[in-house]
Amino acid sequence: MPIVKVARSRTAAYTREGSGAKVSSFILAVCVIVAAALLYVWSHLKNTQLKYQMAEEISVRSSLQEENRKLKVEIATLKSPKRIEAFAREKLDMSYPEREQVIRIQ
Amino acid sequence: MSGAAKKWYKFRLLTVLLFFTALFVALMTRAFHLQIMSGSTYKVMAERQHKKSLPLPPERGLIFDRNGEKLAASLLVDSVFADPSRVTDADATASRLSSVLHLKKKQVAQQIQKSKNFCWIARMVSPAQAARIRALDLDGVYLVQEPKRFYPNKELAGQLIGSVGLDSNGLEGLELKYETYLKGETDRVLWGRDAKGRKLYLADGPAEEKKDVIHNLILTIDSRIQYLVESHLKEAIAKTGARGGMAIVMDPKTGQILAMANEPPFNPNNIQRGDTDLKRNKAITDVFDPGSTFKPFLAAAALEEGIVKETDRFYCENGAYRVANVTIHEANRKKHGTLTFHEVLKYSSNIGSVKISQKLGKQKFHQYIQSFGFGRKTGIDLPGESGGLVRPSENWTTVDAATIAFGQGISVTALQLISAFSAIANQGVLMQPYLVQKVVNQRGDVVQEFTPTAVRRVISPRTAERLTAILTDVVGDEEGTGKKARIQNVGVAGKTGTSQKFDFAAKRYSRERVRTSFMGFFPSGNPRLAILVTIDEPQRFKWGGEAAAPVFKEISQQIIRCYDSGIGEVPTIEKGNINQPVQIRLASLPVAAAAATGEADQEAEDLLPDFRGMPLKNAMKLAQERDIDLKIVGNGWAVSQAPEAGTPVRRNRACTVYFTTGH
Repeated sequence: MPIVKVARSRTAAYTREGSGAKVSSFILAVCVIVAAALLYVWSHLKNTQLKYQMAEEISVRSSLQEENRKLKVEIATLKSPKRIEAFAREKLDMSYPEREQVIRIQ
Repeated sequence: MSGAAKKWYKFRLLTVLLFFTALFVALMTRAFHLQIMSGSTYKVMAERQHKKSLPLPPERGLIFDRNGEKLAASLLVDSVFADPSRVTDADATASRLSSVLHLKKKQVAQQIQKSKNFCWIARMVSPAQAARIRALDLDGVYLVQEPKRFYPNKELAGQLIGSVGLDSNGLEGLELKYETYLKGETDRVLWGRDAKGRKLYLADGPAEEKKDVIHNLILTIDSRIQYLVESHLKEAIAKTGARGGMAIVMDPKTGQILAMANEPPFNPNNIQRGDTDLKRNKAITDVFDPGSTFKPFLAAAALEEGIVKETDRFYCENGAYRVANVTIHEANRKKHGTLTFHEVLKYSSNIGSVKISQKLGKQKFHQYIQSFGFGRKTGIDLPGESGGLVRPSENWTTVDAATIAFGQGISVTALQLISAFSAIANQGVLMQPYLVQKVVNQRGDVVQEFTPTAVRRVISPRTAERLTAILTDVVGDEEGTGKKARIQNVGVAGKTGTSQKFDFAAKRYSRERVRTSFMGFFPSGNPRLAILVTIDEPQRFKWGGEAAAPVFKEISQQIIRCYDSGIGEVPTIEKGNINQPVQIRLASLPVAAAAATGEADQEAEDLLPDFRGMPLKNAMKLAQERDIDLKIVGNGWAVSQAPEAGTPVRRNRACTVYFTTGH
């Protein structure tokens, strides 16, 4: 009889241990799923943020490219022979060289 | 729990279960309908809301000169438009807009009161005006960016480059001729947008880079030479009190046009303000009687046909020669007795020319006139070219045949004249003049390249050589009519010309209104450049030798001194021998003579080549051939280099070349 008693109490203990393990596994699984879901949501959020950022950067790049174009045209305007000649003559007191002033050196 | 209670409990549980089951089925059905059955339709609708296609204005190609200097570029500027249906207070809006944009209030009010959804208020406004409009934040008034053409050098080569309209379409000049290459295409870019309309980047949308459809032009024009030609022409016009003038600089061996100037100039930045007459490129559109500048072509025909030689003598009738019912005089009422064929050209005798023409015969003369390209378009890559007027020889009267001999009674363009003269410089081969070297894309890859095109051989090299010797005397001899075009140490072959303009009111040639010209090429032994200068209706210095020849001289000297040291009118000094006496080598010494001593080849090997204008591949190839350590900066085609071309490379064989795509 005592043998039967021991066997019952062991079964109960095993049942309690099995139920605890199941709960732990369940909690772990839930945690993993929640973490995966959060990660998924976070990645989507991050992706959207990056899309805003990229759109912003592209707009900035376009405006900088346009600015660059404007500056290049300004350089071309400043380099115009008419302006340079006027500047050289009036501000720097320069003139075109005479025949004797040009000597090619090799 | 009693049995009844248990039953009630089970019933409630079942009801809830059924309710949720039904709900779940309904949801699933709806989801199936939305996702599977109507999924594609809703996807399209969603994309339409999330994605926005924005138009990109067409980007017009750039125009560069042969050295990579920018001659035309496009920039985005703001234009103001309105949606009248959204304007709340038309009167206040019109009042504010008119004060900022300097427009009449009535005109603006009329625009914004129209029953339309779109109307332009002002196109291409200044950045300051655009900022003020933006700050006003008026209902129904918006700003949009449009490309505007800018010409950084203003009037420089204005008529040649041409202009574009408000919608960026070529109207004149190269802008019109190369419209298909330059115009670019309207592109669209796809953006994502959220509920608030903010922009979102779309990974699957088309790239924001525009398609590779932008083409740039690289011209044969040298903006530095163009500038000095224009400035000297302007000075000459002011000095002679003339109505206008033209000048063309051409490479006789290739047909490349280095400069083409018209005075008064035209600024393509202000197309609305410019007089229509100013926009015309008279060098190719206007025809005129060439006068004595036509005599070299008569002489070429006579020499080629072998009917005369340099020593043949012609009696010039002491200044008055009757042909049919007309008496022909010499220019400036000079009186010549007997002149050799050589002297007929040197003194520019009209009567001598008439006698040569009579000896040649009108059919032969007409044949050579056509062969030199007169009477038909040269085929230059510009719109609006005139072919001139050469009547068939059967319609020539005796008087016509006589007057055409000295360039009256025939109409030519300035371009025809310099092209034909260049044929003499090019050993008798007529070249087709052209202005665009190549069309390149944004990366600098060559899309189309234009190479020199020989039209036909007009005269033999021997005839060209004999004629060049005579024309060199016209300038070099103390008694030659072109002596004012003489350049020290450089052989110049040239011819002056003064033609009377036809007075349509009086139906005869005017004695007061003349056109003076000078055309020449140098160095006469190995011609590098041919230049034509014509001055229209000078009030002072009415002869070609007095008005146009000095302009030719000034232009030529400056080109030689400042830009083309290869012609070099001054001696070359070895670095170690700066203080030693040097032997002067004539710059007009033919290349063949220099090469015979091995000097030319050695010189070319020792000097750094000019990489400018070359695409990357060609520059690398040349550097490899010449054993030069090339440092490449950027991509596209070469615009500058350090050290400069022509620098000796004996010790340091490295060169940095800067490339650009122009954007």
